[in-house]
Amino acid sequence: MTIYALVDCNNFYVSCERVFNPRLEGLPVIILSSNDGCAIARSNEAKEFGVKMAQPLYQFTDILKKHGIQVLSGNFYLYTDMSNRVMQVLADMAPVAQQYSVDECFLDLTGITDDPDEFGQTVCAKVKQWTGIPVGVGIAETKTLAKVANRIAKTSEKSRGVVNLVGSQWRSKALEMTEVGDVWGIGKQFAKKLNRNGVKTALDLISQPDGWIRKEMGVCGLRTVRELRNEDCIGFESIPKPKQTTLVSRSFGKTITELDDLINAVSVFATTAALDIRKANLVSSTISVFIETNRFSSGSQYAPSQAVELSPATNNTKHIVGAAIQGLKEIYREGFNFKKAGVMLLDLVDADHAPQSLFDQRNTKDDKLIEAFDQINRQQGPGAINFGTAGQASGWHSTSAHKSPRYTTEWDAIPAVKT
Amino acid sequence: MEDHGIYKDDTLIVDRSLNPEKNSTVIVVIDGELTIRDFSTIDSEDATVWGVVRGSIRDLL
Repeated sequence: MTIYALVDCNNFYVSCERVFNPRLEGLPVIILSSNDGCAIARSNEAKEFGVKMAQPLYQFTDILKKHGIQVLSGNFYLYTDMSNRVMQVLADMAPVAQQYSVDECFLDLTGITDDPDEFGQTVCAKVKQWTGIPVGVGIAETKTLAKVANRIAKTSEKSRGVVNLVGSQWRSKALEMTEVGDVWGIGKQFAKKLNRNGVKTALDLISQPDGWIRKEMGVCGLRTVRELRNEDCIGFESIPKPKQTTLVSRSFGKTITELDDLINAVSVFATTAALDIRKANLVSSTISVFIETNRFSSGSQYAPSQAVELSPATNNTKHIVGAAIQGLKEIYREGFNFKKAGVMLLDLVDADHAPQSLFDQRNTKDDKLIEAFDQINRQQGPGAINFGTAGQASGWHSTSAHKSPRYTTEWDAIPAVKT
Repeated sequence: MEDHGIYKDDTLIVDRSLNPEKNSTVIVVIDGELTIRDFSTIDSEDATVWGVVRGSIRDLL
């Protein structure tokens, strides 16, 4: 029997900001998406005032003023660095630590503790002390139940941040407290359908016959239900499939009409996308470029996209930026106000298993150039050096009016202390 | 803090994994601000320890 713990950071982005700006402690805080478009994280206090996730900023400006809600632009350099710190602390606490998202990690507690509750409390205390980030821990004999437990740990004050469902009589109670739509792996649309059939809670769900579940929800759905019944089906071994596409896109702070400015923006996106797949040791054989006017404005609309083949498959920034610009030039038309652009790298495959054509020749000079390029940007900060076209023009950069400093990744941004 | 060998504009190395001891120099949160203090002098009622100062770096130019 395997014992799983799911460790999940509480209101992660807000908690990161509070570590270095303790004034925000106890105040309602929201974090905005890049471009300050909508809320992507909320403190508990802000949730109580009714700010919804993904709600556009203009819809709740009144609430902000009325309750003095603190508004911050997303500082993703800070969040990534803090996430790494949390994951490092967790990796030291258990033989297996499997990061699931920026703020969640599964631990294997099998055989390392006689008292999972106490171990959970130790995890909370250690992560909080070492990183400043508060976490909740859900413990169970399947990953799906650990998710259920974690959700309750976050909402119930009595739990003090830890809920343990191993061999416990609380399991039915926990399932009864969990709406089907909140079960890991069950989508919103499907939850609605289940509700219509009288299946409201996870407890209702596990009493349905297997045949019905399989017919209505497929094999994956049945696996989810078996996990809720305390049968371990997912495990640590199932390695997630490498991603098939990567997308980098942004809305512009103000609209762009000139080709040169679009080239600048698209070059930056292509550079970022290339770096992403290089890090994952993937190569792409197709790049798609798109540009869009603002479909909510009354002006003329134009939202074309263009795919360009990359042959041989590559993750080389130079080739990817070149192809992106080629595609952009084909679709660009004068006289439109463009609000958004992006690039998508498609058909990603492992670089070591990439299909080779008869005439492929790896250009080692280019490989060395990219190695040096990555190394300088790693040491000096992203964007320290760039390919000729990327990001010199102003105007298209996102508006991030309320961004906090990069406290942990930039010398000049290290917080000052009072004496 | 000069009696602790810490001068204005020094860069402090703060280790959050350490537990403060009687003679530790610590960063505490006082009125929402990060503040440097002698651990023995703080009143734990209105100050939370943020981290223990492990060392400092001084710019000689």
